[in-house]
Amino acid sequence: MKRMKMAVAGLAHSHVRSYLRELAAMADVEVVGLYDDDSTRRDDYARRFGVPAFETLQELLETDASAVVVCSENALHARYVEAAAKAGKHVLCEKPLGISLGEMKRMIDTCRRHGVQLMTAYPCRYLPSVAEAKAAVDRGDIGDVVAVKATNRGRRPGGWFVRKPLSGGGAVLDHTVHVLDLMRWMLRSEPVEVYAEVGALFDRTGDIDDAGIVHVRFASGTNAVLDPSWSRSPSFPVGGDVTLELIGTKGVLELDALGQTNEVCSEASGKTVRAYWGDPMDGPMLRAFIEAVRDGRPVPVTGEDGLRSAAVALAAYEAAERGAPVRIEL
Amino acid sequence: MNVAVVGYGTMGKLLAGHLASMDGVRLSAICSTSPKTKPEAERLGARWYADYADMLASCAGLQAVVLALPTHLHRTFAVLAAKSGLHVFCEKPMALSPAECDEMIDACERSGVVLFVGHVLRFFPEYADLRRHVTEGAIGRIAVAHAKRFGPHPGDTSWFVDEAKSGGVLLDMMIHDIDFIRSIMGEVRTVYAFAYKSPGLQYANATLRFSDGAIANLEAMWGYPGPFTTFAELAGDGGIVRSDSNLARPVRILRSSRERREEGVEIPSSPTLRDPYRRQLEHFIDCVRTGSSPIVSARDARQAVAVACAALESVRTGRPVKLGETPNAGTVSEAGGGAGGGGAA
Repeated sequence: MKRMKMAVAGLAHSHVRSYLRELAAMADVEVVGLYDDDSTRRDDYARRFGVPAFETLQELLETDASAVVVCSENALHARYVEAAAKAGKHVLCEKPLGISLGEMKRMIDTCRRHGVQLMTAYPCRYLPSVAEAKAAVDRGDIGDVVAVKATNRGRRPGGWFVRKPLSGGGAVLDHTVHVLDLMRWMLRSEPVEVYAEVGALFDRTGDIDDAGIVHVRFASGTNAVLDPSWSRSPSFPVGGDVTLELIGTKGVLELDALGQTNEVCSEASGKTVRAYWGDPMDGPMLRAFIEAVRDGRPVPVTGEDGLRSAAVALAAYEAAERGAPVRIEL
Repeated sequence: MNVAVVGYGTMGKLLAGHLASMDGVRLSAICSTSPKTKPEAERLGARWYADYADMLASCAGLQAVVLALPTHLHRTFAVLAAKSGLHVFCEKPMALSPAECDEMIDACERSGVVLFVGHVLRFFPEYADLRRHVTEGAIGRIAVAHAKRFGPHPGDTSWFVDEAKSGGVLLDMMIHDIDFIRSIMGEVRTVYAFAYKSPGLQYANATLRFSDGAIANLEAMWGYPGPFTTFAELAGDGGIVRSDSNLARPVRILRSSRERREEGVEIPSSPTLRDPYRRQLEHFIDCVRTGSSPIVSARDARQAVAVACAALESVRTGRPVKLGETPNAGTVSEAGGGAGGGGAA
């Protein structure tokens, strides 16, 4: 079997660890190298995962890798993705795809012009619970979906996540995009208007948003609302959630995508945690990317998908600033 | 104390039952247009009146009325009671607009009678407990809160679905959580809301921004296919408190299929010695007797209506509504303090 060669550019997002682990476990994949501007981080990951480190991005892109996984700080996605595209590599880019509409459109355009595919990393689509919910909606189990309430909450991250020049935004950008992607996917409709309340409320001395409620009106007329806050305290029994409550004309669907948990009470931690035992999602997402690229089929979650969900987060900031709903115009 | 119950639907029956068995209280009269009420009133030792004005004129020694009427009647009935010098217990929501609430407050203040609105959620042990943890500092300063209230649909012929009478799911159901959240989080600055309505289904969702910056999202639904469900979560900079009705079910009675009398297999129950409906009546009676201030002030109840009406306006316009900006919305400067007293515990 011919092994697909892949490279990793940008190692800032912690998801890269899971991606490297999953890729290492795939017999038909070879990770030929990795790169990060931070040489300490680069060498550390190279050692831990037994992957060659490259001194420059250019050298990494001169390898015969056919695809690149971009896991840098959000603000650097565009630079990595466009460089990879120009080198003729297909790209899987960590979410959010970018931090401005202009740069995301340019990323999509650059990939198209160089004949490479661009996929946005939305692994939640690959959770069996999410797939089952999507199938139920498609079957019409709850009739037409008329309202949605969702949460994608997490613990407050540190490092570059809370530095706006590198992250492009706080909780609202970080956590709006996953759920928006699921909503677009399940509702088969596009967001047209956004209103939001946004604030730095868990750390009121901070200069990055860590709390918000985002309202989204879809072209279909469905209204949705989501909580993307970094609101899970360290004392809370789970680190985060992905929930969707779909109100339909014939019923209600309640999805707790990470709800397959057991309770673990340990004297070591002094608290009760709910430990996730459900299926992993990163592996199936990487497989979907690899197989699409290998077989020359369109990737299942495109750059366009990344743009459309991130556009909602960006509109949320604008709406909060203006105190008025904002139309999505792409 | 001589008390009359006015209106004999679900709530009227429930409240009359409590009043008839309370020490120091005499259920003197029940007022309802339905003659079927007469034997029930007599069973409870009360006199039946078909006509409210007749009762006010002829029921000797009456001191207070308990209004368990459709919401659109609250103002007229409360004002008449106040003018007769009677203390008023009024079911929630107080009325259909802040202006109606103001009329009720004015009439009661002028007559020097107590006006208490039955925001019974404050008397529910699980909500009082949430509030206690917050006030004791368990979760620090609140940042984001959620509340949810999903129940069966009252039926498409019920007065509840006539928005001119009830205000719909937003004024009838969400009002509970608006008052509760406001009692903890203070004054509301902005409201943004959406709603959906069709036969057998009403869903409303509102985001409230509070004057200190905190945010809450509230949901209410009529027509939920699951068990009656309430949920509240408050997340602060020092932790999280949550209350989920589906997790607090100390008794579950599961009948085998051959024994089932009707559809539906599970009867959820959260028994308590502190019946919230009885406790709110006791609190009202106590306030009348001692002259102390109710833990839910009339101003609180009025502000909850103002927030709900702002949400209805946001549903209509698709835009956020600032409290105090529109004639129908309440004004923050008038607010009588969100804390509303020492809790219901």
